[in-house]
Amino acid sequence: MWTLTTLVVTLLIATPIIFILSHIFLEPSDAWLHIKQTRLNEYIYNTVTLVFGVASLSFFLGVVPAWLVCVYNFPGRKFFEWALILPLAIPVYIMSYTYADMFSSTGLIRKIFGSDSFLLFEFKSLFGAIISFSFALYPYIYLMAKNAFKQQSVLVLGVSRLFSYSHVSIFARVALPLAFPAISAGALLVIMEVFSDYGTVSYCTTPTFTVGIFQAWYALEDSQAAMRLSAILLCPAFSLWLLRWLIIRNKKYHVDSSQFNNYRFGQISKFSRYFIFTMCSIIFFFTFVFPVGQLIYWGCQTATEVIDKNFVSLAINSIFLALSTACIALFIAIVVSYTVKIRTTRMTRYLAAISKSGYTLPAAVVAISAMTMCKWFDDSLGVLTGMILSNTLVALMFGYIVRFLAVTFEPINSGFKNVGHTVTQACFSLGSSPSRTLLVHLQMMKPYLLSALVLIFIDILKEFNLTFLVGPTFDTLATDAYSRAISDEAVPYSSCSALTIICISSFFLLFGKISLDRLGKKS
Amino acid sequence: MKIIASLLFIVLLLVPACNQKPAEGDSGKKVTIYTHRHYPSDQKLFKQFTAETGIEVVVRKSKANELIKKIEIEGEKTEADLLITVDVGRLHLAQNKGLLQGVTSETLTKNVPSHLHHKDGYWYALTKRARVVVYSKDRVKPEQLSTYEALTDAGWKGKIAVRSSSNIYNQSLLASIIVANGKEKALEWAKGVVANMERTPTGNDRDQVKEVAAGKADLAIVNTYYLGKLLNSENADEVKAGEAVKVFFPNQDGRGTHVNISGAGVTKYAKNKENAMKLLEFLTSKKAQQTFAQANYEYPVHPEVKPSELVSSWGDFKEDQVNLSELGVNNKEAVKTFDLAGWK
Repeated sequence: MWTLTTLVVTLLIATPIIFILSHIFLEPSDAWLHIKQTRLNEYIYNTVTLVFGVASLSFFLGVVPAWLVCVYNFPGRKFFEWALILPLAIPVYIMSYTYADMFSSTGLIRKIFGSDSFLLFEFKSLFGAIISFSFALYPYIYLMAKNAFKQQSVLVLGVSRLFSYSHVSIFARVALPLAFPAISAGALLVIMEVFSDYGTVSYCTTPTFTVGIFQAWYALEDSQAAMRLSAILLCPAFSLWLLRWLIIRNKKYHVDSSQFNNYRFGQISKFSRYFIFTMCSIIFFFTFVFPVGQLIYWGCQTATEVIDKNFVSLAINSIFLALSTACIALFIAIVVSYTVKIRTTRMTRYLAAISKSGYTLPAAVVAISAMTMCKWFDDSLGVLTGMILSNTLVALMFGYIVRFLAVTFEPINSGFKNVGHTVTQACFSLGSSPSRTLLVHLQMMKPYLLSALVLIFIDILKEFNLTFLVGPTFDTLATDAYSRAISDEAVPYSSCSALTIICISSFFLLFGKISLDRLGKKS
Repeated sequence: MKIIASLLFIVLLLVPACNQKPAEGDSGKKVTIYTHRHYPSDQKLFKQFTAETGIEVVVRKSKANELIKKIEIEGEKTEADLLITVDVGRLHLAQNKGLLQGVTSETLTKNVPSHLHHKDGYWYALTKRARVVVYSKDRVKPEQLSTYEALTDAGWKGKIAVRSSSNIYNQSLLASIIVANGKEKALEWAKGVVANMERTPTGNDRDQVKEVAAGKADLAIVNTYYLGKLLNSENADEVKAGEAVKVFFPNQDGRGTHVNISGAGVTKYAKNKENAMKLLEFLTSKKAQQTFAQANYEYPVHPEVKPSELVSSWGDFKEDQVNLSELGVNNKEAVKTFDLAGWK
């Protein structure tokens, strides 16, 4: 029963991806040969540099503060612990447009420092792209790393202290390797998001492989070649997941869930405390306060023109759509992860892996394959001439889930891991049915469910391409922000929508945080 | 159980709440457009149209290529009645794929001059965009400028700002050069401009103007309406940047300045063909054309409608009279030429 449901669900989600993968066997077209001859090297070079740059920078921005808020007491620790998640609320392209404008010859930096300042540099470059992605995406790594550090056994860290390891070497030699599964999962999410992006890299003129996909499709008018390139794009993503799996497979990562008190190093010097405080402040300032401040300034300028009664319905649409899809996605992820846990069959595991890879694909490509599937479904019903599935909310939600399911898997998997095998075994040996056992698990992993829900909610709230193409014709905050910022080249006018996205996301993050705290107190 | 139940409950509650699909049924009073134009002024025009005719306008926005692919996938069942793009190349592509149908009416031929619509009525221009050279008021004299071709002169080395070749406006410009001078000359031209570029192409048209205003480049190749938008910006510095440059219309002694269009075509399987034509007639009418001209600083296509005051102040100019379909035909070639020339 469980296996069957999971098979059906994952198969459904994997189908659009398998549809794209099927293009890998097509004959190479003219467009592909042209790209190969002229620009492929550039695309690959940019992609590799960008991925490497973003992974390193966001690793630093994510892991270091996560460690600091977990083990040290310093002024503002509680504030930073959740505030450093906030940049996740800013869509990457808004981050890049805002920064590019601030550093342009008509922007804020010139106003403050004058036009000869060394601070004025060309932001729309590979460097700028690395900054934009890292600033907006590092919270994935931060979140996962923070959870991992918190769960690390007090004993392990205590023993390390007994061996009189320095703080730094405990971090580098004990804590970091132990947190590898979580941190690498976060980093992979970041990398996949870099792979799939088109808007930011094309604005920063850092043509990556994805730009090649769109070059083939838009300019060379060959959507088949685009599908083929997308299929190729899946390979590095698959290999990275495989690599991670190979590394962690044979190691036992013990989680000491009996210890809720997390380990703190004793008092540190006043200087260290303020040093840590300054560092966290700088990170928070540049990744959130600075860009949001600029958006607020623009928002004040343009609000009277942009905000009308439609704007409210825009916001309501967006919240409802993102929330309901997030709930469905969470439900699917729970069922799939649970089945993989209790009924390990190869088939389900592979399908689950494939259904995760949608996160690597550009949204427009996912949209095409989702539309093709819906059309195929409508046609096979045949009798009616109308459209049953195409252009409906169901189709749109399906598209979202295909694209974003990966985000929910990681927290839920670690949730199940954290509950531990003993609980599962105890349930089953006491004769509890699988569904009852699942409920027992869910009760114990509420924080993880909540973080999965919030993560996918925010991702859906920021998505515009699928909304444009797959669903019924209506606007969301993200489509509005995109239309104004990119199509109309009027970034200030997109600030109201962008800010509303950021506010809603921040609210949900805060809500998640508060209810987590409450849960923690109860237990 | 509680968690699952509450999840399902939320979903059930929310689905109908956001299902705000316009009521179906009275299809006589509806027209669905797929549009690449995301300008707020267009929304106002659609509202006006609904107020005048009682026909509801359903708008789906995205990029032209994606919309064309959508119409292709949807086939006979497509909801699209009218496809609006921001360049002629995409209209040509849609027509080539058999997604459009030819329509004509007296009003349409009266509103849109013959070189601005397909001869069988597959598409009609809504607005014109001129791709011009803007130059620094202080450092460049207009006498130094003449043609697009002259931009490759060694004297401009390191002085030209222009955006990336993935941009459709650049592609159309190169397509027009291919039509005028042939493939080889076009490749030489592209290489020549690349050699004169001030930096690796980046940013959008507004950014190129700012580059000239900041003194980093002397010339920029841009669409006129972006200059109009800069000059009317909320940001005083942007206005200053716009004021630092002047417009030059190239090739006035030859074939004329390159002009692209934003245009619309009725889809082949349009369910509301009549309404689509009504909308097309409305959008090319004097009144709507005035809105296009005033709100977005584009050149109107209606012969009796004047451009906005600001746009007129840049002067009249001779347009390249190339058959616009030719630009569509040569678009792919243009893209390949850019790649060969190393224009990023």
